[in-house]
Amino acid sequence: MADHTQLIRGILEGCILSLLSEEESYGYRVIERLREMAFEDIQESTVYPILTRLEKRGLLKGVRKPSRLGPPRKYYRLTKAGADELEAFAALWSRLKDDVDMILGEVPK
Amino acid sequence: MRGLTKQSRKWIMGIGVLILLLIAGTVVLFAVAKPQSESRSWIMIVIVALAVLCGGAGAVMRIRRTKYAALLQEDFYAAYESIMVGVRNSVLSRFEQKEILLDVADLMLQAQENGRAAGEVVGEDTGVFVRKMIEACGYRGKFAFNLLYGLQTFIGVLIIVQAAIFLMRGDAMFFETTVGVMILPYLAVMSFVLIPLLRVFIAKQKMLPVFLLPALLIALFIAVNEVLHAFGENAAWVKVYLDGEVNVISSWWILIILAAVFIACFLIKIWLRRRSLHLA
Repeated sequence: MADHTQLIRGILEGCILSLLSEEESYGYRVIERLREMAFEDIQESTVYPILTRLEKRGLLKGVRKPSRLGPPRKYYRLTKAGADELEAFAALWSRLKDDVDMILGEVPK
Repeated sequence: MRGLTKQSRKWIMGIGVLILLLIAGTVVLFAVAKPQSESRSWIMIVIVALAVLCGGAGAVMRIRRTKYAALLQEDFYAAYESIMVGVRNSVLSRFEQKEILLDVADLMLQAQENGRAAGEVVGEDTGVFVRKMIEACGYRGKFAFNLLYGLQTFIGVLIIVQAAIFLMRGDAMFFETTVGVMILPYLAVMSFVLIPLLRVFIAKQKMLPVFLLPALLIALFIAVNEVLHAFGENAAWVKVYLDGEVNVISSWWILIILAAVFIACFLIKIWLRRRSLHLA
């Protein structure tokens, strides 16, 4: 089977930005929501590095808040650059989805 | 104190055996060697004391659990400890290491509360998780970082060695103190090769190379000295190597230049980290 890691990573980045555009949230909750909505098999070892990368690139802003479990928990929210990136992703995805659907629909199986 | 993980028990036993071997070796050397000069005796005592201190510190770090890690059950703690060792021995800055370890502790405490298994959360091979987290921080050039760390270590150790010899000999001025020529190549090998390799093996929890490599370097040092003493004492370069003394830090200017290079390495690392983020 082909390695779709980069493709999935790019899509996940867009989805995470979209989730965090609705409300600020923390890593574990983001994973739960991704699992509830679409990515049932998504693992923490995939999502945490993506959150870190998005924060490093300035697309997310992380703020630590006290947690009843122990360590201060990092809550992420979208930055202005993140909102721009999300807009660009949504436009690209829409175009890509239409193009791919068209090709898949026309090529005989 | 909570029970130690299997890995920690192995490391602490290894450290203990190594310290005992070092003390035994030093005692034997004292017993069989020709009358030693006072400064050489001091050097050996300082080496053993440093080894015991480093070993003790390593063992304490293994035994001690942070406030949050102490809340983890055994399987989660074993995974956390493995990630902690990998992160602590990476090229990440102290701040980034702390941030990642806080996130991992929080993640594991939540997973533990939800009744999940540690392997489900970070995978069976925690090394993969650590690698992904380091890559997420944008690091590309491990070679460049190791070179810069090596240069900083070399400068730091050189200053410490000259200061130690200055104190032991009781020279009138620090800048007049000379260092044995034979020490310099080994300091370079230690700074640029041995320590980066040790960090890699410690991160991968490979115990044998961590104990063997320093022993090999010491064995090489002794073997080269013995061979040169036996066969090559007539050659001029051998005389320089065996008996030569060099005044490395001979003035304030040299010390200032070394300090400037040390700080420059630090700044270049910051610049490389920032630059790598744009490439990620």
